[in-house]
Amino acid sequence: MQEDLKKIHDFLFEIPPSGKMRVPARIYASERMLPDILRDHAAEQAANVAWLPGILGYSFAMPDIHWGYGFPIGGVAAFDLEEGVISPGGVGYDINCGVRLLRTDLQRRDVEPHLQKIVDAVFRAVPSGVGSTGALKLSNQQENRVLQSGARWAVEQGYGTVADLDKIEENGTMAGAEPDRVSSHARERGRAQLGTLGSGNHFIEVGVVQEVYDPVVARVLGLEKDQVTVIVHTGSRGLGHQVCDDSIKTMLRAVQKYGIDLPDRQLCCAPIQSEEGQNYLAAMAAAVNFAFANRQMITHWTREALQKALGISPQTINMQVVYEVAHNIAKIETHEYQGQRRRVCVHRKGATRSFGPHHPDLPSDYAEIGQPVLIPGDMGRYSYVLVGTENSMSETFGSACHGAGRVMSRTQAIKSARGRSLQRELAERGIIVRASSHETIAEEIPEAYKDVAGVVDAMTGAGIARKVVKLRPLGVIKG
Amino acid sequence: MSDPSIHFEILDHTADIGILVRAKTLEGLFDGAAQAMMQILCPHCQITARENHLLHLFGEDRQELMVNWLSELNFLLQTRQFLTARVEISLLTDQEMRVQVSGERVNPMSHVIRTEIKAVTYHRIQVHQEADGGWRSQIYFDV
Repeated sequence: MQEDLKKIHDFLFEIPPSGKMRVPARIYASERMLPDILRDHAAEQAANVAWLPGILGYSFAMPDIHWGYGFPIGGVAAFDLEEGVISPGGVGYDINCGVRLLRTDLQRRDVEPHLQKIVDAVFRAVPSGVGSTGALKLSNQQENRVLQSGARWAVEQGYGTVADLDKIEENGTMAGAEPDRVSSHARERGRAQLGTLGSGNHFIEVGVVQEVYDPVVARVLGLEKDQVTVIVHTGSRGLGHQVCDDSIKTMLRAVQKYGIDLPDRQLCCAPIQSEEGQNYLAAMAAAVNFAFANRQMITHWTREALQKALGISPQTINMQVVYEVAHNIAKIETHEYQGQRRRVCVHRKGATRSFGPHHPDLPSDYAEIGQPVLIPGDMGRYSYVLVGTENSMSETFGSACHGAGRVMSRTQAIKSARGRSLQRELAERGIIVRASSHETIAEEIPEAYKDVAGVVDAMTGAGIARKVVKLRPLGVIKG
Repeated sequence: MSDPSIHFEILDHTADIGILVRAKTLEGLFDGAAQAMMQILCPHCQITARENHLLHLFGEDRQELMVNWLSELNFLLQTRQFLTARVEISLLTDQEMRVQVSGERVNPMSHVIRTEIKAVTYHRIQVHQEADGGWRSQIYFDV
């Protein structure tokens, strides 16, 4: 594949169409990142996506691209609403996995002496770990309302405030959700898991603004150096996983029914306007709402835990949502394409929306700066806050990267962690970590991930997003 | 789960986990896939057959049936906290499976669930008979 790659500029490479590719694939990356990308067949997966009917422009891969199921992680593809398809594999199993960033009125010096207490309090307040279940057992009727209303439902139940909703993609409620399209299996998997962090790479991180790159934009976001922040990273738990699983079964039949030629079964899809396509979008939106509600509840408990641990009032802590982004989602959006404004269906799998300034979907106070793009790194280094640009609107259907991506398998990471006291090592770097099991910490050691700085530099180098601040972890609760 | 013809190994990939299973019979292959998955979920766990579930599963082909089978065991773990110890297959074709699974609910004192499997995928899936008549399957999990 390497020999086929055409360099467009320092941070963009193209795989020209070959075989049944309908459009080229374009990979945002630096030259230095390419060998890793090519080694794990992720570029081949980006080329496979270009086979899908109705794809517009390019099959995109963001700099954090890595091997996924069907679509690569870090894959973005937009489809014509009439000719195009919708693919559950282009969204991923963890529907609306996403990141929320909160800011506080606290300074680093306010929390550093109490970090262990804070981490313990958040760990106790938010159920986490493999198979974690919540305190809430939803009735069928309540679950319907969660699936329809998302974070708004959570706010109505007393989890957080209406002001939180302004700063969430879709304001925390995705339209078009039909709970009836969610199977009983999916409902059952989700019922006990609302308000839980889950496991794997999901986390809550208490951090601090380490570096400010753009003070003007940072000020609009309410961020300044040494200020304490919180990141919540989780998704739709078992409910979303099962919605994806169920839809893949349906789509495997749809591929035969509509005669769609695919290089990989996991890319199965259906025309957007077909019954199968519409049913998936309605079920997906329900799972999206489940995840919005989940992060809203976790935010509420995290706020309470911090207040309690520090013995301060909600007014003193003043913990507000900076923004929340989804990074596993498909959305119907309006974009300018070949000189015309068109409604298209954008798949973002392990990719973040990154709308530029003045987009009507932005909160009014962010109109001038563009949409915040939240890029978490590993637990030992740093995360970034970026903002979307005009370039991202004209090049990538308003999409950017979402994170770092693994470089070590879980087993490799555990081997590399053997005999080390990871918690002590991190504590020496000023980071307190707590997880339900030692293995989770071992699996998630910082060196198991790529350096997110390289990913962010490729994205900003290409002009798709702009750096605003860098955050550094102080206390981490791993799932 | 004592068929000596069943062999499996865990495939370790950067972001995910897979299994490679070999058995003399198709029944052994499905049994072995369940054992391998339990090994990922709850490594070295002693699971006792205390309760049974009867499952009747369908698929368009052997691959889909395999995905549906493992997905159902994952569903039982996620919703009933049920760990599978033993599998008794009474019917297995390319498209249909009747099976009784025996096992027990997770006991936090003796079982440590290590991994949450989001889904059983079709990625590079293989379920086929080899030249020597034996069976082989490769399955990846999204974790």
